[in-house]
Amino acid sequence: MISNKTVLGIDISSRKIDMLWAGKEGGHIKVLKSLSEPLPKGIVVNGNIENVSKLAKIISRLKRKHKIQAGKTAVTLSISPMLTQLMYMPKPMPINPRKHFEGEVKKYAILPEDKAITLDFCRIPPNTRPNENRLLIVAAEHKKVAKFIKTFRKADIDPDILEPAILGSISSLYQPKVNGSTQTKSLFILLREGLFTTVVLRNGGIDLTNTKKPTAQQVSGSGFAEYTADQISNIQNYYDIELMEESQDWQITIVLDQKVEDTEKLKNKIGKNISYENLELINQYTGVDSIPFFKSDIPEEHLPPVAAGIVMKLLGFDRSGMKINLLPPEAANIREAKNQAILTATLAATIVLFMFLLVGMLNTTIKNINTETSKRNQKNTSKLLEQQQQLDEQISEISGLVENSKAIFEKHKDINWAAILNDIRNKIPSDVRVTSIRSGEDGKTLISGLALSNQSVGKFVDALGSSEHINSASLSETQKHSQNKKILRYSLNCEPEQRN
Amino acid sequence: MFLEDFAKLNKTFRYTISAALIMIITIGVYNWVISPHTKYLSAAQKYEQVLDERNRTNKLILSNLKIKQTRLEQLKQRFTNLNEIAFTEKEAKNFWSNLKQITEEAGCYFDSLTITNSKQAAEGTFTTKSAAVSMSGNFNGITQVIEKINSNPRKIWIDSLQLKTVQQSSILRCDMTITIYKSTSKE
Repeated sequence: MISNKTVLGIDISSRKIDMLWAGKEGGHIKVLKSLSEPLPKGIVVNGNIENVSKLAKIISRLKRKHKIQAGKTAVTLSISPMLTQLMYMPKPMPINPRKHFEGEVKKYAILPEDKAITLDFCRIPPNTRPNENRLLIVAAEHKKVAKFIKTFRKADIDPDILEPAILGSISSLYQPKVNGSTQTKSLFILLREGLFTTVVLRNGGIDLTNTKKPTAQQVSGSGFAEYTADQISNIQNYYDIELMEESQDWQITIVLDQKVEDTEKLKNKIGKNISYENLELINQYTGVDSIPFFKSDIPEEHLPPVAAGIVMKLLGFDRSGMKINLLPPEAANIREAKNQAILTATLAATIVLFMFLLVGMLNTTIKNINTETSKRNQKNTSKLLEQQQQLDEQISEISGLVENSKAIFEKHKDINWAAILNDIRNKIPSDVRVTSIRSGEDGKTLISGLALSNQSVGKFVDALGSSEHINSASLSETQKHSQNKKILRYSLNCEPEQRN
Repeated sequence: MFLEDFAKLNKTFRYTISAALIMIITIGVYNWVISPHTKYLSAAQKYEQVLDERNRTNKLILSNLKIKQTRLEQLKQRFTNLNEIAFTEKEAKNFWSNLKQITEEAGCYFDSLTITNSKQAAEGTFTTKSAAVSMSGNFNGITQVIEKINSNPRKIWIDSLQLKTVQQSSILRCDMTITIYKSTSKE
C-alpha cells in the first residue's frame, strides 16, 4: 500500500522539464506519474529562468493536467554560474558560518562579487583532518534562485528543497556504486547547461569536485570526446602522480544533456585509457531504464535521473549524506508565515463555525423553550383570579342569605300546638276540665279550668310536666268556685317546648 | 504581497498578530452572535421558571376554585332547603283560602281570617305574612285543624293560641295568630 504522503521531483533545464510524482511503498519507490515536456526556447537559458510567467504556466498546466497532488516538492537548479566546492573549515565552526562562507565564496571568480549570494553547505565524509570540518558548499546568485522560487509560487507550488542538479544525479545514478566498494574510485561527470562538472567519489563520499565552462567547440561533435577524455586523464593523473596512489579501477559515469547519435563510437573515443565496461554513458534527455528502489507499473518506462534523485532525497532513500538546500531563509520564512496564516485562518474559521454551531444549538433550545412556554401560557392566572373572586362574591352572598334565613327561622318560636293539645287531652284526669288556654307571644301559656280536687290538679300539673312537648308546668293558683264550693278553679303556667 | 509583508515580521510578532486576530474574531463573534443568544436563552429560561411558578399558583387557585365551587353548591343546596319552608305567592293564597275548608272538614266553624301583617323578614330572603284566625269547635276538632295546618309541606308558625269554652259548653272558641313566610327568590 502506498503511503499517504507522495512527493514531486521537478528538474528544469533549458531544453525540457521533467516531473516525477512518486510515493513510498514498502521498501520501494512507486512511480505514480513520470512526464517530460520540451520547453520552448528562451524560457530557460543556461539554466537561468528568463520568462517566469510562461514557465509557471507550463508547470501549472502539467500539474493540473496530470492531477498531481504531492505533499512535498523538490526542484533542481542548474543556475549558471553556480559554485560547487569542497572546503576545509577549522573547528570549531564560526558562530555565523553562512555569513563567513558568503565572504569566502565571493573570492571565487565564478561568482559575481557585487551581488547577493545564496548558499548552503553540509559536512561530508571522509574526513582525514581531525581538526577541520570537510564541507561541501554550493553557492549561486540570489536573484537567480529567487526567480525559481517566484516561478514555482506562481505555479502554486511551494518547493521544500532547491538542490543542484549534480547532487540529484549522484543520488539516483551513483549511490549504489558508492555503497558497493569503498576501494573503487568513481568519477561522475555531468554535462549540463554548458557546464562540465566532475565529481570524484571515494570511500562513500565526495573526494574531489570541479566545475568548468568549456567552449562550444569543446563540447560539440568530436570535440566533446577529446575534451572529456582529457579531463578524465587529468583527474587520473592527479591521483596517480600528485597523490601517488596506485592506479585502481575507475568507475566512470558520464551524464549528458544532449542527443548522442552513436554511443559506442563516443565511448570508444573517450575510453582511450579505460575499459568500456567501466564507462557508462547516460542520456538525461531520453532517461534511464531502471533506477534502484524505483518501481513502475508502466513497462520500459524511462525515468528522468535528476528528478528521480531528488525524489529519493524527499522519500529518505538517499544515503550520500549530501544535504544541500538552496532555498533562501526568507523563502522558508514566507513558507512558515503562509502555514501560520493558514493555521490562523483555519483556527478562526473553526471558531466561527463552532460558534455558529453553538448558535444553532442555542436557537434550537430557545425554540423548544418557547414552544413549551407557549403551551403553558394558555391558562391565564388573572382569569382564574377573577373567577375565584366571582365565586367568593357568590359564596358571600349566598352565605349571607343562608345565615339570615337561618337566623330568621331560629328566632321565630315554633310550638307544636297539635302535640300539646293532644297531650292535654290524653293526660287530663277525669275530674279536671280545661276552660281556657291562652298563650302569649313569648310562648308562655296559661291553662285555666275547673277541678274537683287539688290532687287531681296536682296530677294534671305532673302529667303536663312529664310531657315531651312541655318544658315545665306549674300551678299558678287554685280557689273555690264562687257558686259551688266543691269545685275548684285552677290556673297553670306552662312553658311549651320549642321546635327547631 | 500580504504573505511577504507578514513573513518580514519576526516570529513572536507574527504569533502575536495571529493570536490577536483569533482573539478579536472570538470576542467579536461572541459579543455579536453568541452573547445575544445566551442572553435570550437565559431570559427564556427565567421566563420558563416564572411560568412554572405561575402554573403552580394556577394549580393552587384551581384547587381553591374547586373547593369554593363545592362550598357554593352546598350553600345553594342549604338555601334551597331553607326555601322549602317558605311559600310561593300562589301557595300562600291557596293556603289562606283553604283554611276555611280545613276548619269545616274538621267539624269546626270558621269565624274569621284577618291578615294583619306583611313585612320583609330580611333583604333578599322572605316576607312574612301573619293572620288572625278565629274558629269554634270541640277540642278534638280544633286539635285536628291545627294538625292539618301543621301537615302543610311548608312551615307554618302558630304564634299565639287562645282557647276558651263558650257558655260552659263543650264548644271552644279558638283564636290564633298564624305566620307564614313567602320566598322572594321564588317569585
